Amino acid sequence: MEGLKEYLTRQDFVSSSEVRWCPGCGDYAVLNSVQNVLPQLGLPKEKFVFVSGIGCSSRFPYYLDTYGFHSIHGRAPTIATGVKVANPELSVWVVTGDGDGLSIGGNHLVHALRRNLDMNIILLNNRIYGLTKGQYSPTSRKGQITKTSPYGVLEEPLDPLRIALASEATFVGRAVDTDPKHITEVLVAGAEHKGTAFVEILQSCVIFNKNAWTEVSDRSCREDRLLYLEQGKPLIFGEKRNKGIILKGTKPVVVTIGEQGIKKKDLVVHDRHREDPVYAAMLTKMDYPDYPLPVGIFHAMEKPVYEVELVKQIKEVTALKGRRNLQGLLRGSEYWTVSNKGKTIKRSTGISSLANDESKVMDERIHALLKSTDPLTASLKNTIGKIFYDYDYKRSKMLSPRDSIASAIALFKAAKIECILVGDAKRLYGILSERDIIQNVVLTSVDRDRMPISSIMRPVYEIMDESNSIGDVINILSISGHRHVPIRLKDGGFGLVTIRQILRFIHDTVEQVEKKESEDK
Amino acid sequence: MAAARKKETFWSEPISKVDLQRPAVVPSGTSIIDAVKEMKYNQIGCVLVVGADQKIIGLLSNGDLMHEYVGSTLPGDTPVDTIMTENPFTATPALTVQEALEIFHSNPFRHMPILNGEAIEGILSIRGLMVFISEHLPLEVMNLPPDSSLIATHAAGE
Ligand SMILES: Cc1ncc(C[n+]2csc(CCOP(=O)(O)OP(=O)(O)O)c2C)c(N)n1
Ligand code: SF4
Ligand SMILES: [Mg+2]
Repeated sequence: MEGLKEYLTRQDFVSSSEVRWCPGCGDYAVLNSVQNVLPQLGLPKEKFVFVSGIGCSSRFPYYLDTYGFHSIHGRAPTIATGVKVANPELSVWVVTGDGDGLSIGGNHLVHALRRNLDMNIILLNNRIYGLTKGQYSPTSRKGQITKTSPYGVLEEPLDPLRIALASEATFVGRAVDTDPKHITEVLVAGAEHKGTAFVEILQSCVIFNKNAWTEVSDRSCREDRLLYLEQGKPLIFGEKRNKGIILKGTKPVVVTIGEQGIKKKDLVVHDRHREDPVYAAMLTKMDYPDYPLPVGIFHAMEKPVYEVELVKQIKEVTALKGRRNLQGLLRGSEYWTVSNKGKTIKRSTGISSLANDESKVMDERIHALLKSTDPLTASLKNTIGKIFYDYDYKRSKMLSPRDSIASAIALFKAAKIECILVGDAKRLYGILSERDIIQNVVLTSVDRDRMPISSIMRPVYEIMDESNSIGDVINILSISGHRHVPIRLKDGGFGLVTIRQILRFIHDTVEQVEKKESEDK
Repeated sequence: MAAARKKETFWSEPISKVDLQRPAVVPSGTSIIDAVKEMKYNQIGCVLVVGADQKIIGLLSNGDLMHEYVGSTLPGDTPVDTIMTENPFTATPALTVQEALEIFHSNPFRHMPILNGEAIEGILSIRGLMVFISEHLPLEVMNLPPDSSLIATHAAGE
């Protein structure tokens, strides 16, 4: 292997395909860097595979003399996953764009990252759909004018690095297309990382989004506007290397060394191996012009690698159960027969004879739950009618919405009730509680003899049926915040069930249970 | 036994575990009108009346107001002391759920001040008590479908 390192050169990875990117496109610089990286990795050529989706950036595999797959829009991480699992010896690279990787393929990217196969993902971020001639992408800036946002993008852009961190990526880096030497460094580190290495490269699309990055990546001002992250070194930047970052609480603050007593040792020291992602996330939040834009390796952690774990698992299970036969599984005795135009569905005997028939077990569990023998919970399955008739139902009173407030007051006093139904035998219009009367009559000077109840009643939140369970009614009372709920009676008309009645019922049930228990003893 | 299991879970829990309401409090001598405003502001159905030493001397409920004030000839600036319930029923946070149920069962009031020594911890209401009980009955109360007769009898997925 050592010998190969010297043997392969950049030239070995240059394909004979004509490169079809626009002149000046940032993709060229990235291609050159990748062709520079590959010979350094000490692998024979046939071990490299480049998988891409759709986009200008996704044309990448054509221009490398390696195996490659210019695949389906957004699905490069998925196909690469299959390639790596089937042949873990390969060095697998995904090349994607901001549209390919974060629009149509956002979901695939997230899951590839959390799976952590030992592969590399390069996302070329030009903040635009280049191939389709300039529509806005998920990383386009707010206000950006594009073909599909003629008056400015309204959406908040995604930050690819924060997506990667949130997806538990084990290696997260960023580089700019104007600094190929730095791209090479980051990509080599990523390739050497065991696990998925995600690298965003800020890339200019000279045709459709020319100035996406110029203010930070331009050679003339780069030193002042980019912060190169170096492991174990303080966060320093600036042409004179005299600016740095300190932390005030969790907030990064830009300082000048030598001013206000700031020394180099006060600066934050970069550590990409921190286990918690908070520091790395803080770095991703730093952006020009408030801060220098950080580039380099934000986060790098060793975690179990998917294909290694998978191979191990297959070995262990095979040792235990022997090799299984896929055809046997497909043509086995477990199947369903659908007949009578889909009306009847039958299990094969193979399924129902299974010892651990899962759905049967689940059904049994559910039946046990529903058939609770606990007397209190069983009692809650009684209909609410039981409470209504057993506990003071004669106290449910109703008035017409046209009756005066004074007549309601008289009824409250005479019947000693907390609440009155407002309606007639057919319809319920509202509900009037003691509180409604107090707050309206005491705090305002309504003419109680002339004003109708309808002016102060409250709308009905919910009408329940006599056949609803007690549990249902408790549920509604808990959610609604009310102390009473009207019920529609079987013989017509309406009644009222109150929290007090329910508590009485629970009280009596418990009393009976206890009595029975002490008798049993 | 099943019932014994339920008892263990919440029956003998102290009332301090129930969400108590923040009390509305007025000093003795406050006018009835101001006491009602205080109840409305605190969105609670009663107000505690305290003496100069901050000890509870009475409780004014919507029921008191309905039966003693509304329709009476008393002016709105009458002191609450005239119509409040004197020396109301109180309890300590150690009261159990079962005991609380017993108290509300045999008394007409809906609110009970909970006192820790002299300090007012909060107000236990019949609603608070019911919600507490229902939270311990997820299958029968909390996690029902909108129409409970439609509760599934088979495991999902088939
Ligand atoms: C299923 C499908 N939907 C939409 C398209 C159209 N399409 C082609 S490339 C692309 C976006 C590419 O954007 P990006 O990944 O940023 O690549 P760039 O060209 O900017 O490098 C879209 C939407 C397609 N080819 N296939
Ligand atoms: S359209 Fe933009 S991204 Fe595509 S090749 Fe041209 S410059 Fe590059
Ligand atoms: Mg793009």
